This record gives sequence, C-alpha cells and structure tokens, in this order.
Amino acid sequence: MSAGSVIGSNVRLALSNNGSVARFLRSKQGLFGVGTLLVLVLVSLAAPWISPFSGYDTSSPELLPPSSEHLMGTDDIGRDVLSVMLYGTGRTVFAGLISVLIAFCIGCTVGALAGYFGGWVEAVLMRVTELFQTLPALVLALFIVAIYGSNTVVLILVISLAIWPLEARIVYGQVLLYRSRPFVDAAITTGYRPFTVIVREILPNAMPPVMVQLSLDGGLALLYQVALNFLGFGSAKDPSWGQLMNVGQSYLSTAWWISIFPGVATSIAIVGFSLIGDAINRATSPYDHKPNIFRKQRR
Amino acid sequence: MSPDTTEHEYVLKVRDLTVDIRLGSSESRVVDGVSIEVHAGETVGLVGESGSGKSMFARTVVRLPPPNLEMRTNGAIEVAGYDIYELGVAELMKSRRAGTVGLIFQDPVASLNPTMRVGEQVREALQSSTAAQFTVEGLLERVGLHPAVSRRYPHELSGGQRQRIVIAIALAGNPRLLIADEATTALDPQVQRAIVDLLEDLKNDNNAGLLMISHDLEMIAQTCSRIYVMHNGQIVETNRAKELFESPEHWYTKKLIGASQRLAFGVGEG
Repeated sequence: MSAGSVIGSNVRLALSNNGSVARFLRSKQGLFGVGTLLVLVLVSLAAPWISPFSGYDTSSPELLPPSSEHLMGTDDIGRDVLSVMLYGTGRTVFAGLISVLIAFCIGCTVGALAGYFGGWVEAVLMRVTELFQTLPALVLALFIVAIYGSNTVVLILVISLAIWPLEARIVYGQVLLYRSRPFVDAAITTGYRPFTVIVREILPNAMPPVMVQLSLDGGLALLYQVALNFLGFGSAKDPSWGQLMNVGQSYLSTAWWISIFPGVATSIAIVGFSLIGDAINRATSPYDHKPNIFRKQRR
Repeated sequence: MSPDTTEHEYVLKVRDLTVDIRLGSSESRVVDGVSIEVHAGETVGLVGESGSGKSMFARTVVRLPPPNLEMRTNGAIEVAGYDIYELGVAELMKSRRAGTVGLIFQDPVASLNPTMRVGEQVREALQSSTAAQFTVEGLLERVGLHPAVSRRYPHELSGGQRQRIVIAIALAGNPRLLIADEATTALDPQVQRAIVDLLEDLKNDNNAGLLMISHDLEMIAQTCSRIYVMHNGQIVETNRAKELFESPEHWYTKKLIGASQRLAFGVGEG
C-alpha cells in the first residue's frame, strides 16, 4: 500500500461515516477556502496561457502604474506585475502544498510510532521533535539555505523541516488517545501487525484534528515560502510573490502596486487555508452542530 | 508450528500468577498468586467486585498490558498449548493469528472501530487469521446477524448487534479459548441472555473453553460449571457453581451472594 493511498483512504474513512463531508460542503467558509485553493491551482497551471505577458518579459516600461494594458502595473525592470504574479502562483502554492505533504508524512510517521510503541521509541522521537520545535523556523531556514544555496527544492525541504513537529505532536497526542481504546486492543489480540493497527485502526480516527492542523500548516508553509523569497533566499531569476514584494519595498511610496498586489494575494491564500481548517474543525466536531435547544425559548 | 491442542486437556492453565504495575513512582500488586484452569468445552466464571483485578488478569492472559503502564508478571500462563510469556513478539502474533484466544470486551461501542463498516472489520479479522474457516457472511450468520448488516457502521447498529459483531471478530480465528470480560454488562437482560446463549453455542461447536468474567453473580451462576471468586487480586474461593451458592465458605463469597440476592428480591430499596 503506497503512502498516498494510505493517506487517501484514511482521510476518506475519517470523513465518510458521520455526515462530516456533507457538513463541510454546507459551510460557506469551507467552500470559500476550497474555492480559493482551486483558483490558485488552476491559475498556476494555466499561467502561460492566461497571463498577458511572460513572467520573464522585461520589455515593458519600468514602474508603470496600473492601466488597461498592465492591470497591476509594471515593476522596476519592466515586468508586468500581473504576469509575474500569475507565473509565481505555481511556485508559491505548489511549494507550500508539497512542503505540507512532506511535513505530514514525517510528522505522521514520527507521531504514530512514538505514540504507539511508547518506551524508548517515544522518548527518542519526541525529544527529536522537541529539538526541532525549539529551533526558530526562519533561522533554521536561513541557516540551511545559507549552506546549501537557494533553489525551490531546498526551500521546500526547509519549510517541511520547520513545520513537521507541529504534525508530529498532534498525531502523537491522537495516537495516545486511541491506543488504549478497546477496538485497538481487539485488533491486537486478533493478531494484527502494528503497521495494520496504526494505519487501519488508529489513524482514521485520529485524522480530523490532524487535517485541521494540516490546512493551517498549508497557510504557514505558504507564508514561509513567501517570506524566504522576500528575504532573497529563493531563486533570483524565477518569478514569485515574495520576490515581487522584495522588489516593491524600495518603491512603497512611488510604486505601491508592486508590493500591494502580491501582499493581498498572499493574505487571501492564507485566509483560504485557515477557512478550510476552520470548516473541517466544525464539520468533524461532535459539539459544533448540535441543535440549538434555546432558540425557541427566546421567541 | 501450532501445538496440537486437542491433546491438551486445558485450554487455559494459569499457575501462581502475580502482576505488579508501576504508575509513576508507585507500584501495586493487582493480581496475587492466581491459579486458574479452563478445560476444553468448559465454561468457567471469574467473579469479583470492580477493581478486584479481573480485567487485569484477562489482559495478562492475552499478554495485552495496558498502554503507558509498566507491568511485571510472574508465574506461568499456558493458553491452548502456548506458553504465552515465553514467546517472542513475532511468535506471539503468529499464535494470535493461529487462533489461541478471542477476547470480548464490555463496551460494544468502544470495541468497534467507528470509522469502518462492520463487514470490513470482520473481513480484516478473517484475513489476519491463519485458522479462519468462515466467510464474512457465514460468520455474521453464525452469530445470528443478517449478512446485509455488513454494510453498516457501528453507530447504525443496536447494542446487541454490536456485541454480536464483536463476538464475530473474536471468533474469526476459531479460538480455543474465549474470554468474555463483562461482555453482557452494557446490555439489557433479554439481550444479555441471547448473547450468553450464543457464546455457549459457539463454545460447544468449537469445543473451546469459555472464561466469563463478571460481577453479575446470578448470570455467572446460570452459565458456568465452575466459579472462581476474586478479591483484592487473589482467588479467595473456587467451587462448582451449585456448591458455591449452597455452601459458600469465604466471607467475601457470602457477601457477594447476599448482595446478589438482596438485589434480586429488591431488599434495601428506598
């Protein structure tokens, strides 16, 4: 069973049987969040066809304000800001998503093993997790980028290293919670292997809070990606939102459009991730969709 | 290789078992010098009040220590020919898959995975067993359920149906020993009777041993041929069910029987 299919089946199982999917689809926040993410993904895939100019084209006049020809103006080297943003969407969003996926795989494995086996396995893995948690994420990122250079792959790995402890701790807590449930004991006495017990019995039940954390970490990973590019640790020649903001900081008073538009896009993307997390939390919480018994009495 | 249990008279033989648990800095003895035997085809009861060590004994027999508790055991436990505490981890899992013991828990809600259809849970139990003889549908019919139930989730079933599913999972590997740890406590009296009858039938069909653990002395007396009385982790009295009720010797047994009779006749109410 591949890691992808395990995650997929666990997410499906976790949401499938108690109306959580229907509640998620009924929530406006969830739909807005998913819609935002879908738009960003589609835009990043269609960037070469829908952007008015190439993201690398520097032939336009410099520092032009927004107009009908350049809807978001141009930057200091004559690139169309809208085109740079459209080309940069893929790098920003996909780097964030892949970082979260890697962080989830590491965190889920570490948290599940520590919670299930306990003893020295737990002691070693959780101390390593705490060690990573105590390191300031951005400082760690800067340190690694300074050693290994700046490119997209290094950025993705750096962001994954910064956020996996969050996933590990929440999976660890959930596994501890479900490890002592009778259905897990029943599975063990039936002769299930530890891998089967973890993957089939514990993780599907542990998923809802993990998915909430995952969506919040999506926003965090995107923010780290933008921040590292803003600080100049991304690829200098490839367009990205952070790099555009970096350029725009020198022209805040004269060419506000260079930094404002990528800043707004970053905010919307992070709000989208947060809304997905909030909607999953509400949809899977047993307390948040009870009928309001006091409503009639107030009439 | 699996031991040939048909040659063994006992499906459970426990000798001088002591269990000490450590929680933080404190250590306490929860099972103290217990010796119990269950023959093939026999139903044996283990009674005692809550906290007397019955469930810890059951967990020890199947080598299932509670998570996050340091547990130390002494004594010998032989289940269906396997010396359980002499087995390595791989051999222990192999013996479980070969159908040594089936454990049925008190709470049928908590005993089933809420995120999986019950048919899927039964199928997994069958697939993990090397001694399985049934299909999912066959096993469900064996415990008195319609095969269509397999498509349901645990929360869509009644308490009795859930407990039947739990029994089906425990039976998947044709275990030589069935341990029912307060298996009927959470059920209403009619369903309790039906579940006890089902366990008896299944035990007789497989010539397995059945160890019923409960604080319900009346139910144990109606079902079991021999009864062990447990108090503070020790077996304080053991006898055939009839003799135990007619002439109890230990003060604790007398107290248990007295309490059971007072409840039956409603003495002390209001």
